Amino acid sequence: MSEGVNGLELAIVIFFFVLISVLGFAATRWRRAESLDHLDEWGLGGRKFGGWITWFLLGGDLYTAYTFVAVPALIFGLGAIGFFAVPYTIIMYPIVLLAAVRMWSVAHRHGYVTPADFVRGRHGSSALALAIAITGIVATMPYIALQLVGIEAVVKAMGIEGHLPIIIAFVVLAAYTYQSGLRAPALIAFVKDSLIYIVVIVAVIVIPANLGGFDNIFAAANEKFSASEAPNDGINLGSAATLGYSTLAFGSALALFIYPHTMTGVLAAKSRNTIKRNMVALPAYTLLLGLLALLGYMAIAAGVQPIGDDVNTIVPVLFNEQFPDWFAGVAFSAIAIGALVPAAIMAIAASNLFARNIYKEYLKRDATPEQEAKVAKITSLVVKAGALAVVLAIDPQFSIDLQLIGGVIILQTLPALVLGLWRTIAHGKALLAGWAVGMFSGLLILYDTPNPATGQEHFGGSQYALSKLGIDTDLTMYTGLVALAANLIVVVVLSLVLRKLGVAKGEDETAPEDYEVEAGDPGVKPVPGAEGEREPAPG
Amino acid sequence: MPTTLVDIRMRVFTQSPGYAPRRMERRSHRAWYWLLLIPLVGLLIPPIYNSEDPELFGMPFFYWYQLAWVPLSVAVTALVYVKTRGPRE
Repeated sequence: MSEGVNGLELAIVIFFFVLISVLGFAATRWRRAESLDHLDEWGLGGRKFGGWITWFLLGGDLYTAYTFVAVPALIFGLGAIGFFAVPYTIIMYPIVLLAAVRMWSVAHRHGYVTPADFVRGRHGSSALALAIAITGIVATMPYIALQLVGIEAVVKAMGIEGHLPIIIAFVVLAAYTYQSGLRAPALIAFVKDSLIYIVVIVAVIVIPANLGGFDNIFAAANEKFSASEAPNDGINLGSAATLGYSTLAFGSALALFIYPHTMTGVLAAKSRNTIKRNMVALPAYTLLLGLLALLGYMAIAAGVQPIGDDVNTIVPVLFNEQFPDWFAGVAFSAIAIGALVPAAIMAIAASNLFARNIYKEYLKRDATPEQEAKVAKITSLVVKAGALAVVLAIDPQFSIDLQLIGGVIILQTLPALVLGLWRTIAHGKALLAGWAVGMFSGLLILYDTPNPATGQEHFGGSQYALSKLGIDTDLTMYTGLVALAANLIVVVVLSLVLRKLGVAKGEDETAPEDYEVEAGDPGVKPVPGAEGEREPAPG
Repeated sequence: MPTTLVDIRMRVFTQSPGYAPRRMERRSHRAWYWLLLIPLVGLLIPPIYNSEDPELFGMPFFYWYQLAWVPLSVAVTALVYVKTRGPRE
C-alpha cells in the first residue's frame, strides 16, 4: 500500500500485542507449580491441561498463522490443489486417535517428555533416539521461521516497511516463553482462537455478500484459471493431480501428528480421555480453515493484487479492502497472534528435545532436573534467534523450501515412533537403517524436483513424477510418502533378517499394559512439584 | 473421579489381576475402531468428488463435499469414542 501506514490498524494490533504479552508473562502464575525448574513444568505446563485448554492449545498449535495465510494464497494461485488442507486436517484425527492415546499413556507411565524419549525407552537405542531428536529439531526450525513470514504479510499490508516489527514481536515472545514455558502459549491461545473465529465468521458472511455470492466468486476464479497457461490450475483438479492431491493430504496428516510440537500438545493433556475427546472436537478448526481457504477465490473475484510479488499478502490485502479499518486491525491481530502461539510451542518442543535427548544424553549425563530445564529455556532463546536470522538474512522463499523438506524428513521418524506403539517385529537397528534410507531418498528426490514455474532447478516442490520410476503415467505423488515407503521396506526386511539371525532387540523398558493406562491408574507418574488436583501417588 | 487411596492401594497389590478384566473389556470394543477408516475412504479418492456439479449455494461439488466431511468425520470419531470408552472415562 503506497498511501503509508494505517494508524488505526496499527494501534489495534499494538493493543492486542501488549495484551497477549501481559498474558504471556502472567502465565507463570497460572495454575502455579511450586517451581518451574523442571521440564514437566516448563516444557509441558505441568501435564495437567484439561479438555478446553488442550483444545485451544492444539488448535493454536496445528492451525498456524502460516496455514491461514498460505492456504488461501495457494488457492489464489493454483485453485483446487490448495484445498488439500481440508481433507488433510479432517483425516488426521481418525488416523492418529489410536496412536495419540497410546503415546499419552506410555509417556505418562515413564515420564517421557519428547518423542525421542519414547524411542530411547522403547527400542533401547540412544543412536536411534538421537536421530529422531535431530530430525525433529531440524524439521521444526523452518516451521518457526514460516510463522514470521505470516506476520510479515500482515505488517506489509498495514503499509509498514522493514523488519523492526517482527524483531520486536519475537524478542518479546522469546522473553515470555523463557519465563512461563508452555503455559504462555496455552493462555494466549484463548485470545488467538477467539479472534480468529470472529474474523473468519464475519469474513465468510460479509465478503461473499459484497462480491455477489459464491456463484460469482467461483465464476471469477474459473475465468482466471481458464485464461492462464499453467497446466495444474483450475477450480477442479486436473486428472494428473488427483493422486498427488490425496497423497499430499495423507502424508501431511501423518507428518503433522509426529512433529515434536504436536507431541508436546498431546503430552501436556491431563488424561487419555482428554486426548480422545479432542480428536472429536478439533475438526471444528478444519471447518474454519476450509472457509478461510475460499478467501483465495474471494480475492480473485475482488481483483486483489498481492503486494510486490508476495502472494502471501492476498488475505491481508483483501481484509484491508473489504473491511473498515478497525475490523481489519482486529483481523491482522488475529493473524499475528496466530503466528506467535505455534512459534512458542514449536520452540519449546525443539528445546525439550535438545535438553533431554542431546544435552542430558550426551553432554552431561548427571544433569539435575533444574539444569535440564535451564538448558531448555536457554535453547528456546537460541531457537527463536535462529528462526529470526533465517528470515532476516535469507529470502523468505528459502524458509518455504526448508519447510517443504521439513515435512518430508519428519515423516521418516514415523516408523520408529508409530511401529513402537504396538508390538511389532520392528528392530531398533532396522529402524535406524530405514530412517537413513528414508532421509537420503527423500532429500535426493526433492533435490531432483525442478519447478518450471519459478525457474528453480532443485527443491521445486513436493510432488514426485511417477514417470521417473519408469511408469508410463503423468501422475505425481507426495515425495514424503515415496521416501516413507522406502523407509518402511527397509525396516520390515531388515527386521525379518535380524530376527532370523537371532540378533537381540534393544532393551525395551515398556510393558504392553503401559500403553493403555489412564490418569490415576497405578504406576502413572505424578509430576514432581505439581500441586493438588491430581490423585495421591500409589505406594 | 472418586478414587480413594484405599482403591489405589488395592490395585497396586493386585496389579496384574486388576488389569486383566479391564483389558479384556476394551478388546471386545476394538471392532469399532475400523469405523475410523470411513473418512479416509470418503476423502482420499478424489475422482469421487472431483466435479463441479451438483452445486450447493453456488459452491461446486468439489468444495462442499469435502467440507461436509468435517461433521461426518466428527460423527464417526464421536461414535468410536463413545463405544470404546473405558468404564472410568
